[in-house]
Amino acid sequence: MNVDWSESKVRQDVREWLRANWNPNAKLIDWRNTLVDSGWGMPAWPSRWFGVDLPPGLVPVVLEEFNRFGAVGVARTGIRLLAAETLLAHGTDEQRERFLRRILTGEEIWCQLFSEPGSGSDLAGVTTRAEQQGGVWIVNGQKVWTTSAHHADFGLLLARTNWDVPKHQGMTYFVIDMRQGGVDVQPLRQMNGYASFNQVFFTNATIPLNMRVDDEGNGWRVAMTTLMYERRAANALTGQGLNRRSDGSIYEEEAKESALLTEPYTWYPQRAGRVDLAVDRALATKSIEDHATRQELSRLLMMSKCAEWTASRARAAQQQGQSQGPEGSLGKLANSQIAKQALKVHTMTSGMESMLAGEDGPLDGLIAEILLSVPAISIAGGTDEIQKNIIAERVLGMEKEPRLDSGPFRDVRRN
Amino acid sequence: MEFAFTDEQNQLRETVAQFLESRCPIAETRNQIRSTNGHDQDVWRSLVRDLGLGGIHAPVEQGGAGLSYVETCIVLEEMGRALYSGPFLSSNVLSVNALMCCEGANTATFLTDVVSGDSKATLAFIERNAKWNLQEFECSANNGSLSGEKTFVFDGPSADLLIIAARSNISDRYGLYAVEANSAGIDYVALDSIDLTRRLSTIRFDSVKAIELGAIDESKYQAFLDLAVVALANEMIGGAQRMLDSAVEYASTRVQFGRTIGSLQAIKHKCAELLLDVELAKSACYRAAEAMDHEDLNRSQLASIAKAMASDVFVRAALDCIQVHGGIGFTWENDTHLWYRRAKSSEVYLGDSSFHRERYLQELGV
Ligand SMILES: Cc1cc2nc3c(=O)[nH]c(=O)nc-3n(C[C@H](O)[C@H](O)[C@H](O)COP(=O)(O)OP(=O)(O)OC[C@H]3O[C@@H](n4cnc5c(N)ncnc54)[C@H](O)[C@@H]3O)c2cc1C
Repeated sequence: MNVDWSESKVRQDVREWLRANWNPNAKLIDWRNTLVDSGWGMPAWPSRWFGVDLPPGLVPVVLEEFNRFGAVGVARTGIRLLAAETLLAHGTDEQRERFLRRILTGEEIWCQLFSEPGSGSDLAGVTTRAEQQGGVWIVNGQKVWTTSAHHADFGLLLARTNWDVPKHQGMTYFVIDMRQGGVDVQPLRQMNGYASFNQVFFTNATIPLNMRVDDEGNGWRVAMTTLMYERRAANALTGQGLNRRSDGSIYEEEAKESALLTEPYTWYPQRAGRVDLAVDRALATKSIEDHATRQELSRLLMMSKCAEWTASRARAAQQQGQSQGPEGSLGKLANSQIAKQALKVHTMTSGMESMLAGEDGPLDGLIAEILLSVPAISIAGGTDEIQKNIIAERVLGMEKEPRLDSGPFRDVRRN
Repeated sequence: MEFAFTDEQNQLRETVAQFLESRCPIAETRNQIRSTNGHDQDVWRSLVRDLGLGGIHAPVEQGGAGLSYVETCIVLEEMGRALYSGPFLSSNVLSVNALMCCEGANTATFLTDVVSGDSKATLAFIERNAKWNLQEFECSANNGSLSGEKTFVFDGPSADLLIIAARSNISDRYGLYAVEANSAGIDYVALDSIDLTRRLSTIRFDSVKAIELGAIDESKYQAFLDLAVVALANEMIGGAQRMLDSAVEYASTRVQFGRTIGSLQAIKHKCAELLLDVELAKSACYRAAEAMDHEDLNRSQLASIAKAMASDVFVRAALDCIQVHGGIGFTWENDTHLWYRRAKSSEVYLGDSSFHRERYLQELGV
């Protein structure tokens, strides 16, 4: 379908559709299915797959209209949209048919099985092995830091299928059913006290042949797609805040659902530094009168504004047809720096009180939670150092570092 | 909704960049450093007359292009990148801004002359003690006669029209005054400046015949300062981008330990961090430029963000660029110090980053 979209046409179409279909007393699952069928749930997606082929620049218009109506959107929590985008880009029609809808309705939960004890930044060093035997793939090995694995129905798995070729060429990408005997999930406690990531052990776990994503040996390419969306979405993992407009049973159902789906992510806003609290804290603690604090606070607010504007420039460039690839790394790095600056400001505004946690701590422990969560932001989803490598090599075109890991993977030095 | 330059704006940028590259490459700018006025009169005239940049955002009635401040800032960014040493900022931006905020009977003629390039103007407002605080200015005009001292004047001796902000003879009132540069009673003292590509001087006025252009109050004056700060900030990010480009280019050719130094992470990461900060500062500068054309209540906030970000990033970019070049970066022959000098000079003009961080909070009301 080739529609000539304009802002006013989008607005009008969405409004008309919401007027006819939005019902705050519908069952959540029914509403989401209707939404998915209409294409307004993921408007930028192809019309063949639950979208309307809307130019990405016009998506905010759709969200505005949903907000105006207080209409609930598709599920967005966790890595579900990374899974969906990856399947859209590399999956078979059968896989898209099977998974996309239930990703958007929130019925199924996903996790990302990439990192291993022996390979994190160097993701291409995975040693979890998948072997084709008797009409299925058999998986053995271990993943780690897997967020939400304890809730997940399915996982995006990167595994080694060939040890005799260079490391990047020997991996294959799969969708694995997490609810099976061969998959053992064990929660790991984090430094901030939460346990949202896990270690995952595979002992002869199985994957049907039709759950391989893209060709055998193409795993690295597929994983790059997932990571590109991850860097871009670095800030949107907690789903959107809903502008509730009316009473309706759907809201209670949605609140209950998101409490479950977002359980592993409750501390994610804190890891981003909670810039939104900074001014109020400075006023409340009177540290706003301190010259040094004012300087750091102002620096924080400016960085945060500039990052917003930079993201908006990147989106505009994308609309003009320039591709948005490694630029996602700039945004991720910016968020990291902002979080660290926020850490400094919250410490300055709280003073000695920042020694205290839990109920004894400022804002009932929220400040302590910020101080203990920010360190994750420069590690999760690719460390700051890796982002800087990407920026320098792919945006600035600087020479890659000499590699010591070429040749058959079997012979490469590893942990 | 989102900020993007139009095709016309990108074309303007391209045209100006090409002009500067062919007419004032850095070797030529080095020659101008030793010249009397610090710039080539023909190049400036060509910018004004051939490219029509004499008054980009000035009204069409006065010969201006009638465009927005965004276009002015695009041109300034390119000039900052090229380290242009001519009086474009002083005459065709700051003086034009000053004349545009006056309603006096004579201003239209002056503006027409400046925009057409018939007259080269500069602005004299800063004083040694008062700095740029209007309320503390001592220089004053009495019945068309101006006396006092102004300093940190850009391109003073080569200007033929001086625009001065001074006290008027009515107490607590201020005005802008025009003075012909060759009037009796004017004494120029050239200042030895760290920035070799921008001439600074002190000008003494002893009962000099002055024409009143119009009254200014604090709010008008603040609006003028915001325009000046945003213009300068945009010029500065051009310089910062040039320093980043230069660092990356050198790092990609210089070989040590059998590899380019750009393949070493200490250098690579420095450049990546710099790119991020340059991009953040650009966003601030572009937003601020856009806001200058709108009666946006946040103009002063945006101006302060732009200047704070640009001040920090330009200095850092120049320092990093010197560092990446190693020993050669510290030589007179290497061009990097010319931008570093501009960076250090622009950093503090009309307030350094600390000043603007503080001003931003005050404008926010906290
Ligand atoms: C909160 C959280 C949630 C996570 N969720 C998931 C998840 O759901 N799924 C998943 O698969 N993974 C997840 N991760 C894992 C994360 O992606 C990895 O921790 C990260 O990529 C770093 O790998 P690593 O821990 O092995 O550290 P390493 O790679 O061993 O890095 C250690 C240090 O060495 C540096 N380093 C490594 N290589 C280079 C290099 N080439 N140049 C310069 N410095 C280098 C790193 O920057 C770091 O500082 C999560 C991590 C966190 C903290």
